Order: sequence, then C-alpha cells, then structure tokens
Amino acid sequence: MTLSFRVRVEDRGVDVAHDLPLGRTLGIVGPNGIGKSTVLEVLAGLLAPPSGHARVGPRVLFDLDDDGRGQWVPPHQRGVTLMAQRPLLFPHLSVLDNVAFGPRSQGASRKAAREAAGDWLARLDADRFAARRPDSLSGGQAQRVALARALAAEPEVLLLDEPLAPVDIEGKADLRRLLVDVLGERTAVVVSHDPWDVQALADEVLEMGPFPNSRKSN
Amino acid sequence: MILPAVLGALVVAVPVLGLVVQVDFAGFWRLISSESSVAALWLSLRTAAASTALCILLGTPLALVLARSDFTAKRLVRSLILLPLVLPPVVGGIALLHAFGRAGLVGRYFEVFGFSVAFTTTAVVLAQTFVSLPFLVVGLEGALRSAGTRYEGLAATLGAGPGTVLHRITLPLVLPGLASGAVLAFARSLGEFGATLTFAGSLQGVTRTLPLEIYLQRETDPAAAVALSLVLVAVAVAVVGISAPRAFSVGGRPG
Repeated sequence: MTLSFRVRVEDRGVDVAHDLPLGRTLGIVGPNGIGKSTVLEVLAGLLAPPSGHARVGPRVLFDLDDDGRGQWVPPHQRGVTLMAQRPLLFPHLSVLDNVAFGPRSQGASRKAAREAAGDWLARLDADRFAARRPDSLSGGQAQRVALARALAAEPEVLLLDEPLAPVDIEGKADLRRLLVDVLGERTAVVVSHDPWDVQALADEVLEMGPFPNSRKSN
Repeated sequence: MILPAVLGALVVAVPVLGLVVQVDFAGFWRLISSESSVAALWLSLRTAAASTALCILLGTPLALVLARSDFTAKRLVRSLILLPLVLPPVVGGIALLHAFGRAGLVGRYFEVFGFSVAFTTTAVVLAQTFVSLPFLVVGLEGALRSAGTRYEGLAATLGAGPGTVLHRITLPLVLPGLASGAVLAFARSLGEFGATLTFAGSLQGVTRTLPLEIYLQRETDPAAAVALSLVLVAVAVAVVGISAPRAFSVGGRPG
C-alpha cells in the first residue's frame, strides 16, 4: 500500500512522481520557487494540475489525462490535510475551536469535537492556549496549534509545507522534536528548503531541482 | 495642498452648518411631531429596514458569485449591478415602473393575480432595494476578495464541505464588510427620493417617506422642512459614525 503520485504542472516547471509506502514520511527538497508547494497544493486538492494522478492505496485522489479530463476528488473528501507555510489559524475562532474545526466538520458533535481538540492540544503541550485568540500567539505557538488542528482532523495523509519556517530559533528544536514524534507511523509529505529538517523528519527524499528529470533517492 | 483640502471640506461642511443654524430649536419638537412627519419617519424606518434586509438576502449570494467564481459574462453582470450607482434615481424609477407597474414587463402578470406593486409600500421597498443593492454588493465583494481563499482552502483540507466552509469560515471572516455594506445600504435607502417618487408616488403613510415629506413641507412650512432635514442629518451622522471606521477599510483584516 502506497501513496503514489505523479504531478505535472508545465507552466510552473513541475513534473514529479513518487511511491511512498503508507506510514512513512517523504521529504521534498529543492531551492525556493521550484514548485515544492505546488506539489502539496495539488495533493491537497487546492490546485488542479493539467494532468497527473494520485492514489492512497486503492483510493484515487485524482486521475487526469493529458487533456485534463478524468477524476478529481474535492479536497474535503480526500483525507489529506495541509499544514500551510503560515499557521493560518482562523482568526475568528478560539484556539480550541480552531483545533475542533476538523472533527466538527466531519460530523462530530460540538462536545466530542472540543474534547478531541483538547486532547490534541494536551498531546502537543499547547493546552494552556486553548481559550486564547490566534492573534495573541507567537509564531511558534501558532504553528504548534496549527499542527494540533491538522492532526485532529485525523488525516490519512498529512502534508506539511515548511513547518518550521515561521518558528524562531529557540522554538525550532522543540517543534522539530515534536514533529519527529507525531510523524512516526504517519503517512506524511514534508516540504522544506532546509536539509537538516528533512534529515530529521523524512524517511525518503524527493529532490526537485532545475534539471529535466527529478531524482529519487533513499 | 492645504487650501484646496480645506475648501473641499468646506463644500460639505458649510451646507450642513447652514441647515443647522436655520433650525427653530424652540419649536423643534412641535415641528417634527406633526402627524404627517411621524408617519413619514416611521414609514422611512420600516421601508429602509425591509430593503436593507432584502439587500443582504439578495446581495450576499451575488457578491459571493462575483468574488469566488469565474464566468465569461462576469464583467457584464458586475457593470449591470453597479448601474443604479450612476443612474439618475428618477430614471431608475421609470425603469421600475415599466418593469413592475400595471402594464409593465413583469407587472402585468402580477395584475392577473389581482396583485399590484406600483404606488404601494412594496414599491417603496423595491425602489430602495434597487438603488441600495450596489452598496452592499460592492462592499462585500471587496471584503471577500481581500479575505482571499487561503482560509477556505485550508478548511476544506480539514474535511469541511462547501456549505460548512461558507457558514463557518467565509461569512464570519467578512462579517465586518457585510455590516458596513448593510449600514451604507440602509443610509442610501433612507435618503432615497427620485425612484420612490416616480415608482411609488407620495401617499401619506403609504409611500411618502421622510425625504418626500421634506420636499412637500418645504412649500408650505419651511421651518418644518428644516427641522425634518436635521433629523435625517442626525440619522446619517449616526450611520456614518457606526460604520465609518470599517466602511473606509472595507475588507481590511477582520477582528
């Protein structure tokens, strides 16, 4: 069982493919502007590529032929959650309700969703922020909450776009350790321009570079 | 720079000042509490509230479609919606009459069911909605555009379907923009004159709103007209006071 994908977005110079066994973490590295985030957006369903395909096990995320026709599952039905480059916590909701948003949207009662959110915040050592408003958090705190929110949605595949970028130096080591912990048995794709982060987090590496065919290495 | 700026401010301030110094404050209460004045004020408040509600109900989906979808006729649709902003209200009134009047394009079918719109309170509300709708749509569309789609996309990857995203993310994020759009629409409805007079006429208690009453009183009792005008100025100042901080930063970061 793998997460297998091929993403082609010609006008952004993106053409990558990979097979990732479920339960492992893929790191995508490469210089800025090479289209790493584009790959995540396509997998999340926020950007439709001209062609390509992706599957999680037998389940199709999208399968588009060269004319862009075929299957395209909308983002909310993919079980693929994106943690974007900026925390993007919903500014009108408390930290607790931000984290409860995923379970609540997937049909949990308000009470159950808040309980799940509380558990996740506690696991990530962020429960003391529960009642706060997102704009009162520091970059590192907000990113921790964003991680809790992504995990609370119980995604089958977790996508992380430069998860350590908005965090200051002191917070970085903490959050990196936390990520290593939660990504353990999870299927995840991490984008980073920092080789250290990728080395710490990823089991496999996909390198995107300014050469015609992307290399693959283990 | 300073001199033209001061002149610009004076263009607005002097007429208002001229009105205020004319007011007969001793007889103010008597002037504005006559039966016809109270009827006009009450009618104005009711119809403006109704048309604001209609603007919100019809304008919100319109703004969403304009801000979030892409179709070829979009520019045309947007220009059409903006038309009442630049159209003389009396022309709007004539257009409404030919659409919803007794012999109008749509109105003739209403007649079949013994239902007539022109020269009723419904016509007042319709005229006000016609002229006010662009204020709400423009304000809300701007708010939606500057709020962007990042939060919406992220919410979708957390498992929220389009309906959930709309009512838990999109609408709460643009609530300040919606509120200031609604306040401006209310103010525009309250001041509506030309389209109302043309399409709804001037029947006391039925279609004679405050601006029409002021215009009529001016012929017979100028002091009453001035006093009633001050009431409208007070309402306008209150409206701007409530909405101005937001109205001029429509779509700015909420919260």
